[in-house]
Amino acid sequence: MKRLILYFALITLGMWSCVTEIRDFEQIEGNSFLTVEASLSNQAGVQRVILSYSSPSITINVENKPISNALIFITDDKGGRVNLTEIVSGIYETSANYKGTVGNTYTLHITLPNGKKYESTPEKMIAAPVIDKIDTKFVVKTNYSLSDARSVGYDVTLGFKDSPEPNQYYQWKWTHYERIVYCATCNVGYDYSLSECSRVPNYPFGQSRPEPINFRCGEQCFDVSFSPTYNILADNLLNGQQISNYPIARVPYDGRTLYYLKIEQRAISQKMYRYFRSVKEVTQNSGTLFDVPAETQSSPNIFSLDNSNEKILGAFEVFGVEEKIIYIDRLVGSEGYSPIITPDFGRELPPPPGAITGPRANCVEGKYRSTREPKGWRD
Amino acid sequence: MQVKINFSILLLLTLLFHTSVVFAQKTYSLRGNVKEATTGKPLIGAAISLDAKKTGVLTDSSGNYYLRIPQGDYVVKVSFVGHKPYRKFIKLDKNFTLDVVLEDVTKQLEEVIVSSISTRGDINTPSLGVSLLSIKGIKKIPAMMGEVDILRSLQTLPGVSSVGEGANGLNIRGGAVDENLIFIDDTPIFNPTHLFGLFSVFASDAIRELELYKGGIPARFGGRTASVLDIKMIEPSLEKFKFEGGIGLISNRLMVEIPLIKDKLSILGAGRVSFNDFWFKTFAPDNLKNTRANFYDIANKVFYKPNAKNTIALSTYISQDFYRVDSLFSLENVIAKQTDFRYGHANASLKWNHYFNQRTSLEVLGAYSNYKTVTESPDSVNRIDLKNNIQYKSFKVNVDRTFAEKHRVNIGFSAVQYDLNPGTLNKEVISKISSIELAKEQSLELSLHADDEFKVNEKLTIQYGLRYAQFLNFGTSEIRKYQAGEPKSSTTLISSEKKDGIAKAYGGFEPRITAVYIINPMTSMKFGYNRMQQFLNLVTNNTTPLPTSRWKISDENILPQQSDFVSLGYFKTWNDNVWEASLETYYRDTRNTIDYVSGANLQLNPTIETQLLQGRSRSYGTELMLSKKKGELTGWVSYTFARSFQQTAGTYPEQRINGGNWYASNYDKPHSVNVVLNATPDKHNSFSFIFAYNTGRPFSSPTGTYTLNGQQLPLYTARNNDRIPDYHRLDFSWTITNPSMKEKRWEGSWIFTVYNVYGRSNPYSLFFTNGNSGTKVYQLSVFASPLVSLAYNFKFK
Repeated sequence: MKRLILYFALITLGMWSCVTEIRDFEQIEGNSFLTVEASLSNQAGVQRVILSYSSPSITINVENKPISNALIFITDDKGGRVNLTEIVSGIYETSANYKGTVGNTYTLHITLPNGKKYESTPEKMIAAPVIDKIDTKFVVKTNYSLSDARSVGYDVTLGFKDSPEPNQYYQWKWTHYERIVYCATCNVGYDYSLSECSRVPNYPFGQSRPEPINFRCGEQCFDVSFSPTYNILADNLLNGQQISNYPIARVPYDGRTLYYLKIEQRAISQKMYRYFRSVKEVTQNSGTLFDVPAETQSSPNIFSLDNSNEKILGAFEVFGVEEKIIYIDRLVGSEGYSPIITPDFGRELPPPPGAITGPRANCVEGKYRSTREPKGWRD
Repeated sequence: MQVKINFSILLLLTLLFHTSVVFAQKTYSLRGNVKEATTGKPLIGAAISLDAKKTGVLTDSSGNYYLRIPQGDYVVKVSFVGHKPYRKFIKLDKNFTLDVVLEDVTKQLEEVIVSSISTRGDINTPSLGVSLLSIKGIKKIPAMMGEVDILRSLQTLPGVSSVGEGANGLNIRGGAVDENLIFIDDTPIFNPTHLFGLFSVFASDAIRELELYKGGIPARFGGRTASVLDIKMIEPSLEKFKFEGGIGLISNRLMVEIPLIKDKLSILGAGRVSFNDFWFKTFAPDNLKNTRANFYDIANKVFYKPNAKNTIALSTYISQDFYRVDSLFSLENVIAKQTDFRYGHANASLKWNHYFNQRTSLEVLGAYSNYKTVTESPDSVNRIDLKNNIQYKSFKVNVDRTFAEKHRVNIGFSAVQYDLNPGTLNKEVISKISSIELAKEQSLELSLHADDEFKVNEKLTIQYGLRYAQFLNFGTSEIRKYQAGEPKSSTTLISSEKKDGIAKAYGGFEPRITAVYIINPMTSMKFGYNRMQQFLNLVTNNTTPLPTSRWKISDENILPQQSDFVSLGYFKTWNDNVWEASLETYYRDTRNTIDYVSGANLQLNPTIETQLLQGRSRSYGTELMLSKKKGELTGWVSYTFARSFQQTAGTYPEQRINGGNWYASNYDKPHSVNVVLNATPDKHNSFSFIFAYNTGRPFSSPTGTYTLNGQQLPLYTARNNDRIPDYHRLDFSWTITNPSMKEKRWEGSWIFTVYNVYGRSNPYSLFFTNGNSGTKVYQLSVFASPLVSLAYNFKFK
């Protein structure tokens, strides 16, 4: 509803209104809080907890501070307990084959190095319904010019049967993997110790002045992208219905290759639905007349055992999940349209004498990049 | 742009007043006599100027003047202190005699744009915090896009503001938009704007005047805590057939007054229609081409005066908005292809006035209002049909009597019934989307009031009154009980039962007092206090309410609002009411104002009280205003210092906003300055300017960032902890009346308006987005460039 109104307000006022970026904005105060990003599903694979103190600044230069050496474990209502170990600073994981069981109730326990203790409320894992069907359709959006990447693409929708039980809440996430050739484009060379572009000239063989040079990946490497928004649904108006054509993603037509897309359908609790709904409302505020007050909610399910008034950010997400991996054939439906391909920015250097390739860069495992082939990958 | 526009205005003014002198050999005489209009006596020392240049020639002791000047075209101006100057264009090609009569401005018939002193035009009445605006006056000031707009005009007055341009409603002396009682011919208006806040709903042609009570509210009004805006429709002429109308950028208007039986029966019909579809068809990209946006309003009145002792008036008022937009989401959790919105009022009132004698009169009034909103999606599978409405029925009796010139007494009774449908989804509609019917709400507000304006002595007059309001929540209501000792939520709901009869009653006295102490005939001081109660709230947590927002009647869980207001004023007039100055200061304290839990879900929520919190608000301020009411140049300058704060400090942490501390409300704008000027150099031209400045409104600014699901998000920890940049704007309008310069029954006028002359992008809000490159800050401006418009108005009388 809000989104519709926003949309309307923008088009009505759109003829005169304007949005401008403010570059000299001064933040008036800064705060930092314990942030917990924890999740547990019934899908085998590592279950992660990320601990940090939030950044007191809105500039990119001040980052969250990871919290190391915390003691973290998860217990269930059947008497089970699993410990998490820290793999890199602030990131804690279970063993690779640990997974939750639908119907069980899980509690997260955290002890910080300073002795402060935190606990989640017991969270029940709910079964997610099976994804019946996924549809992809090539759709041209005529409000953008054909040279605009937003104009052409595939709309991905899915269908499933909502459980006859009332008060079911769902969340969808998609993940896309794409094998990449170049791992870095640097102007003055690459710093192998920091695994990023060098800040001082460190020219590879064949480069003598600053210019963008593409560095091939030193190993197998994938770019990872995922849903940027919260796609959640409550079944209060659709209880027990067959839900079809529910929008999940828009896949860009930026090439003719097969497009890998992993879709997760999650069953979440009412508490988490409400929490995500408020996060979504605030992040989608766009300054219109119909915005709701911007307010960051405290964690819906993690509390301090020492001080009940302590504000904690993040949540312990416990959910049942159904997953589907699809490959979108981007030759189908797009006849007559050319893909909008982003050209490689720099140039590649020829191999120095005696070598087979030019300079290479590291593939750094992280949020947006992976060296591991994703599940169900086909080349 | 700024320079260009200023230059073109200058050019226009020059063209108008300054016709260049043609050099010629021959000289001719210009002579004449200057007299005072009312007395007919000659004016001695009146100055004659040519082409805005002083000639140094003054009238002699018989009022005569004489000049010898070269042949040519001249603009002759005759001026005298305290009198309205006279201007005439002459072609001097022979000896010329020009006799002039000048009008004393103090004797000039007042065409009040605004008066803050009193509604009866003199300083000695006890009314305080009341502004009277005439529609004639409002029509003189620049109107955005040529649409004469009452709510926008009111914002040029001290103490009246809104959250921003295009906001849906007014904030008066620190009150929320639903704390204003808006009446048009005694029927209430629940949503005062068209186009989601762009224009107000009142068709200006049908309106005669409006009174805004910012405080000192008389005992006959009740039901809202902040203010009363009482809009009166024209009483159609019993003698003469008249019509008027206009063609503008946004809408077209027509108004007719038809006397059916001379001196007995007449009717008024006024309408305004807007067809904005062509914007979308012409300018919008493909996906918006199906967008439709139309509105209209129709006001009618039948006025019957069977004899000198009785009048009967039947007024109706209908407003309607229609929008169609293509969108995926029309209702949370539902996907639909297209959505239609329809909303509007259907109001009617019937009033009988009887005059027993010169001292006693009776007024009997029945009024009805129905504000209805429909959200519809004609999609075949996921069809949506969401309706809600609020219905008002009232019956009021008022008796006025004067006793020995010392007491004017007003006694009355009123009964108001509200029937509220907070939301019905898909009732009797075949759709995959569920059918939801929220429990209806019903209430009765009974009240008795008595009010006496008592002239204690020559110096002191006190108007004191008392109102008792009894509220009853009745009918078949749903009574929801929550676990004691826990915040209300869907999990602490223990029982929900339907009950017939009176579910909850609230009541209380509302004392009202205003007093005037006359220091001298030109200076007075006033004091006012009033208590108000409100049993009905608009439920919305958006910056400005949506037209489809639901209302809520007080019940077991939601307590009525109560407000105490005190004010003090100092008033002065000079030069027979040509100048008037006022200083008013006030303090207001309100209990049980509505606030919302964090992340509130309000639409179609059957347990709405779980989303609502009740807190306190307080506001205070000082308003200074200087106005010139007569003469060639009229207008006002005002400065306001005003603050408005809220506090929601519930028992449980989740019931506290901003940690339970006081915070500035969305419409807290400490400093504002308004300048409104209108210059009428002659009968055909009129120029107006508005300048507005105010401090930027508060907003919640992030105090850091945090990560959630791999996304970096702005962190908001305090409500309204920062302010958007200040607002200022200049508007200009030029009205050319009757350009043919001939006196006819048909009178046409062109109005050229520039809104936001120097094109400042005044921020409506700031917002924050997070991407890979950190937090970005954006500013949204609603009208970021000058808006130029031209309208044609006509009158036949």
